[in-house]
Amino acid sequence: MVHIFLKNLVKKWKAGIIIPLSLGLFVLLIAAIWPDMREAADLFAVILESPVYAAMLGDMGIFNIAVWPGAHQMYMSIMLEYYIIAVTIFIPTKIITEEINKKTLDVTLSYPIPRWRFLLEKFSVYLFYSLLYPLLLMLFTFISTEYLQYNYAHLNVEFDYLALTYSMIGTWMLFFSLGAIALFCSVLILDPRKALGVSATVIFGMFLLFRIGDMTESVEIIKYFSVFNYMNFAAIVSSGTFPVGDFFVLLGVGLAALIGALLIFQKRELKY
Amino acid sequence: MTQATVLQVSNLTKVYGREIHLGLRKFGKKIIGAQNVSFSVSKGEIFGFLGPNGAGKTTVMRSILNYLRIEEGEISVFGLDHRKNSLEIRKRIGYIPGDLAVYDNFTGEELIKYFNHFRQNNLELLEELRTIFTVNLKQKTRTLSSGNRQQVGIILALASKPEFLILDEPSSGLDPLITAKFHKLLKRLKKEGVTIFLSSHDLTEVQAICDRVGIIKNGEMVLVEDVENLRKKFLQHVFVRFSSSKVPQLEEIKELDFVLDANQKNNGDFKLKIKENIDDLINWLKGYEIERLSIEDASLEEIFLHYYD
Repeated sequence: MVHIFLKNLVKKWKAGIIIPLSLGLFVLLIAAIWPDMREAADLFAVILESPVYAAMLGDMGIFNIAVWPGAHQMYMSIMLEYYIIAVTIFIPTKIITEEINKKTLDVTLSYPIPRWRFLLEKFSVYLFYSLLYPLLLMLFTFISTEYLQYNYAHLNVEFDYLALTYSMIGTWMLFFSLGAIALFCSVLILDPRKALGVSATVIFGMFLLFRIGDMTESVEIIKYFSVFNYMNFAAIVSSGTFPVGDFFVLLGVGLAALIGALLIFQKRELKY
Repeated sequence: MTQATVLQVSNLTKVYGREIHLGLRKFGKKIIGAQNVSFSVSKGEIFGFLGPNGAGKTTVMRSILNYLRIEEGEISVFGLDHRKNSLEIRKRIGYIPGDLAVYDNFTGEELIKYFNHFRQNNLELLEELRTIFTVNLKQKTRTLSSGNRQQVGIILALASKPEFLILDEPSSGLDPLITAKFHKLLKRLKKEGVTIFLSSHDLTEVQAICDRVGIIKNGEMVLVEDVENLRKKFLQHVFVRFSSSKVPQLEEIKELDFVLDANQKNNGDFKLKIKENIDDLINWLKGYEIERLSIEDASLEEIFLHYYD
């Protein structure tokens, strides 16, 4: 039943593990430099007041990097945001466009495989490896915190793992929701270059909507049209609560885009 | 449609692109991929599909497989509608696309195992195919030459011995020895009841293995005919030497209705290209004394070129 999923899971393991691992290792790097970095926290606070940083960091600029959770959350949320944008633009879009580019779809679909199932199983591979981002981040955060507690006991390092877990669920939901949107764009367009361009415009456009809406009160409403606004990492970590409403918004958007993509791919003409 | 008909294509029309008229201006472009194409392929038959690049062969084949949406017409395979019953049809067919590509990070063996999963582990022909084709199936396909990749494609399409094979230029890139073995296999499969719908640029190949051919030109099927009949009925070469007492003029011969072309060799012999009715030729020759006469069937290539000239 999950033959395509399992085969692709094995075939894509290198890229599937290396990319999330690179993000996880970044936590160790932050942990290694944080004890020295915290001494410059006051200077950092001044720098963060700059409008350029405010635009770049948004809510994340509020974290106090003098404490380990603040530094961790600020740097990780920046990195995570960029990873989410890059990964969701490139990987789900390529699920079908790469097959078209390499002309492998004609042979594959001549076998008795429903098109929707083929697409769903391949998208599930992306979702599976997307799980590694939150899991590895949590693992390396735990290791880093233990390292800091052991070596820098005088700094009273503590970490709210529950808030981190909530934010990581949100991260995976963003991978799901944005990935489904990119997949929808790709099956709608099919042409590899155009599909990538449309996915990038939609996803990066939503990121900008969120950033501009978040920074500018007069146009705040526009951020609600962006999925980046929901299950926001900084908001979850600050409040420490799980935003149930946001979860369902992302789930709804993701499911709608995914079902739309499956229906379109099942019915559409494969003209290229 | 008779019970033995495996493929029935009726009035297939496929148009690429669209034209939008806004006032006097026209936007976009419409290209006819296939127009009113009709033909059928019977069980156990090898049907050759001829036409140059862009004539519409691949459009017809991809329409049969439900990759393309046709504007008009009907296609049925095994008596089933090609759209509604696409999955059922695909359980019983093998396909080699013209521009064959397979996953390049798989070995041939992995591909066989991967795709065979969808055919309920039926690999009836695999061992025989291993002996015919020389490709190393343990090698990643990205490291194979195009000819060897083509061999992998053929093995994938034939391994489960499907009832109906749709082959878009299957022997392109194969060396002559393997091509000959492949043709032998196709002929044997035909005898065992497998139906084959094959497009090719190689007219010798079509002539050697096909029972019937269809010639497509600018998206329209201009001819569907039995290969042997086609050669006999449509075009023949006549070599004639008249006795010196009465020799017709070349211009006079060229004006005859049944003569398509004529020329005179240096030794005085005439070479005539005639169409369809040999009786007219014989009646005409009665008026002359003939020293030597020979009639040969034209090759499929000549017939094909005749349609494309």
